Amino acid sequence: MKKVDILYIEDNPDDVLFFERIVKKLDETLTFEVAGSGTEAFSKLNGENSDPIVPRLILVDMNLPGLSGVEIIRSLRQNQKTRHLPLIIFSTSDFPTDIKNSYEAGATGYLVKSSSYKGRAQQLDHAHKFWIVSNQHF
Amino acid sequence: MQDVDLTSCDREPIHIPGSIQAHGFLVAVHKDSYLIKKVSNNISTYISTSAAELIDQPVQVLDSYIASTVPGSALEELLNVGRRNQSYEWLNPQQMQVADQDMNLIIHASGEYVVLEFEPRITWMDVLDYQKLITRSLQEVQGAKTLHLLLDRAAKWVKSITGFDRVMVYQFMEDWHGVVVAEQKEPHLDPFLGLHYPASDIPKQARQLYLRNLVRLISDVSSSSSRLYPDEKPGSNVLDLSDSVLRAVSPIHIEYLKNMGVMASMSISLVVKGKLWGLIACHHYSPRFVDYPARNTARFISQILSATLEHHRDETDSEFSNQIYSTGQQLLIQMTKDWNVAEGLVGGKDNILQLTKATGAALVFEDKVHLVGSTPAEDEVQDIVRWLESIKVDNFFQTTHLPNQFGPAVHYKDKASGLMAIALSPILGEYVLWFKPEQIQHVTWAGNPEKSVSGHEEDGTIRLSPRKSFEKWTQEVKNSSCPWEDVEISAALRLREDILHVITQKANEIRRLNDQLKIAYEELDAFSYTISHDLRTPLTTLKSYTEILLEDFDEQLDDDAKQVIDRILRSADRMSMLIQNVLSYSRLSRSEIKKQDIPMRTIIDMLVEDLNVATTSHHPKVTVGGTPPLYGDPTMIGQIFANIISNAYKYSVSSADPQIRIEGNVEGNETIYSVKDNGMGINMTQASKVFDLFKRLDNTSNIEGHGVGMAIAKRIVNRHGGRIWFQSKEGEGTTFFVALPTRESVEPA
Repeated sequence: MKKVDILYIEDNPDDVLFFERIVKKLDETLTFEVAGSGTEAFSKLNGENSDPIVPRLILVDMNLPGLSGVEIIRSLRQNQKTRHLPLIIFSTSDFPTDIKNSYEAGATGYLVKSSSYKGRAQQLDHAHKFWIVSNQHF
Repeated sequence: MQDVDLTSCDREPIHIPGSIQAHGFLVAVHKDSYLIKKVSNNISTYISTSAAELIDQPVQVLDSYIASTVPGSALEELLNVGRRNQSYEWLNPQQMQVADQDMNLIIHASGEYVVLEFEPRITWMDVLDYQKLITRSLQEVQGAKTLHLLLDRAAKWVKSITGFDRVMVYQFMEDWHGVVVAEQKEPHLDPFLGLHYPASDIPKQARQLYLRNLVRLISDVSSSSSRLYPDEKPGSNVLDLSDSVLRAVSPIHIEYLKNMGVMASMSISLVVKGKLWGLIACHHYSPRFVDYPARNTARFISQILSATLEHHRDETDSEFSNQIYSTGQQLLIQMTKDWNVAEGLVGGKDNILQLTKATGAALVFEDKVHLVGSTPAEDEVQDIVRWLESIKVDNFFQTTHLPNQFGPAVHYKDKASGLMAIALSPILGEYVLWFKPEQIQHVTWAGNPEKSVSGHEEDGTIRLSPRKSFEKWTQEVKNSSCPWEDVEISAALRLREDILHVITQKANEIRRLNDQLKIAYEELDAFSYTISHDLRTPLTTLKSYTEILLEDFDEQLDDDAKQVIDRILRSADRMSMLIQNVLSYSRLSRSEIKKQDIPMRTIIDMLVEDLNVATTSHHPKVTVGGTPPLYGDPTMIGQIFANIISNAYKYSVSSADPQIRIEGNVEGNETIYSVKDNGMGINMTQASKVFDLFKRLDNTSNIEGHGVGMAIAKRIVNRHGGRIWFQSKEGEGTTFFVALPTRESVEPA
């Protein structure tokens, strides 16, 4: 069992790179895992090839190869291990239907990726402060 | 005073006049006993005996006065031959010598009598000549390519055979009034061609006789007729003279001919399909006798003409129906093209007028009146349509005397005495109408009715004046049109089917297009999504890397490099704003409008508060007047005011004392808001560009904006059924107006 602060499900290497840079600046000690698709994420959570990971927060992109963000959220909510976790969509889409569908699938929150690096750093800072620093968990 | 009118004409028993024309004499014998029963009184002018002496004598007594030119043809023998053959027709004529005179004997049976009529024989042509004449006329008449030529040639031949001054082809119309359709005449005579004669000129029982007795000669209207002996008394065995060649002429008809100056006349019936089609009418201005062989030749020509007419009539009929059919097809094609029914019916190569013989037509369709040809005015056509609605016309209506049914039509009877209508949608008041004018106006009448000879009373009895019939006819045709023919009616009904079919098809077509549009919109949605995601993602990446450059490699960059990177960032920002704006503009047309009364004061105050915070360059003084609620979608209306008020802020930046005035008023069915600034104003030459997408006016380059705000505002206002406009003067300021329908006007209580 491997405990991590954040599981980030994202297929775009640029977004992953920005995420890594921002997170390192926010808190050197913060731990995270990145999965390029829903399948990879479940594989990591279930420990199919290595130790199963246990995250405190899951960030999900909307447009992914294979399962969509909404479908991943729906599965995570039905999974014994992850159904109590904060599940947050992190997407460029601000389409009302995407937002509605996400909440209906069981998302805890919905963040529209800021179009600027600074803005995105701010968003991740907020999320980190609330869900990782302030929020209590078990 | 006895009341006599033209209907007396219809009652006159012209087939049993009890007298004959005096140019010949008549003897009637009993069909079995051959005893002489009736004799015309004028027999004594031909032979030296009297009618009274001959009565009840056997027919043989005449043999002493009358001799056949063919030996052994005594009268009794002739009668026997006829009786054996049950027909006398083929015996006619028998050439006879009566005293010194050459005469023809014509025999026919009538009731219980056999009638022997003697009339002069004029040998100006022999039998062979007649045969040649017939052969030639046959060739000419049958070779005629057109109806006009056919009738003309027939008239010509009849004239040359009979020698009459004037030979006319007289055609009966549906109401039995007659028209001269062909004429051959002596050069000095006035033409009668094209003249119309009232139906009562040739009364019904005369027409019946024309059907039976195809040739009728009146040789001298001035000679008095000769009575039969003994006097014919009603109820006794009156001799029916229907088939007689000498039958006396009705005094009414005599007067009629005299009025025209005609001294002798002959008519030959033209019978087509068992119906009296017309007459070949011959007039002579002095007495004229045409003998039996010549009359027979003329009759023969008329029979050829009749047979040809029967064929010809079919051709002209089918020609007209062919024309109607192809017009109908063409109209269908025109309507189907572009699915524009009205344009197809009245605007194309063919139009509804050509479908009938009408002189005017109207299409009342989709709240528009389209007129073709000679028609009543538009409002009059609408009156007719309302009247048709009121009498609950079911699909089809036709009349030939509209003014008698619909009083106001009397004012335009010259255009619409006849009306034929098909209902497309009686509920919507949609019709196609055809009009025919009052018939009387385009008819040239024979004789001037004002100068009609009225009843003389020389001998104490009322004499009829045939020309009086004109007045009667005038009464009959007043307010009435030519009839609607069967082909016209069926063409109209077929057109109705076609139009309804096209309308249904059009509805289906619209539904199909609507479906396609829906699909297109869905594709547009998908496209918008692609733009928002796929385009924005790399843009964001580009921007983020640039930011990282600035942030993480700050100390390695000199000022020039930093400035370049800054420009990259600004361009990326601008591009992402543009994408954002295009998306919101395109979404506008689809998003649902949820209308409610919007508390405008709250929205305005909020907007002003935000703008005051955001605007650091200057601080306009904002005053707000009346704020009646606008009825619309709060988000969208909020967007409009955000755009307009922020423009007022932006463009008043250079004013010394920037002021903005916002107020609303209810005016009639609209709530009108105005936002007035005293900023830089808009050059009115560019006014039309204000609401265009991505258009920015040329003095605004130093003011932030994308040229989308007002385009969005206009689109929203349009979708609300409202109006947006502005007034401006350069250097003095601009006032924008937004007017939306009030709730009351949109949702009547």
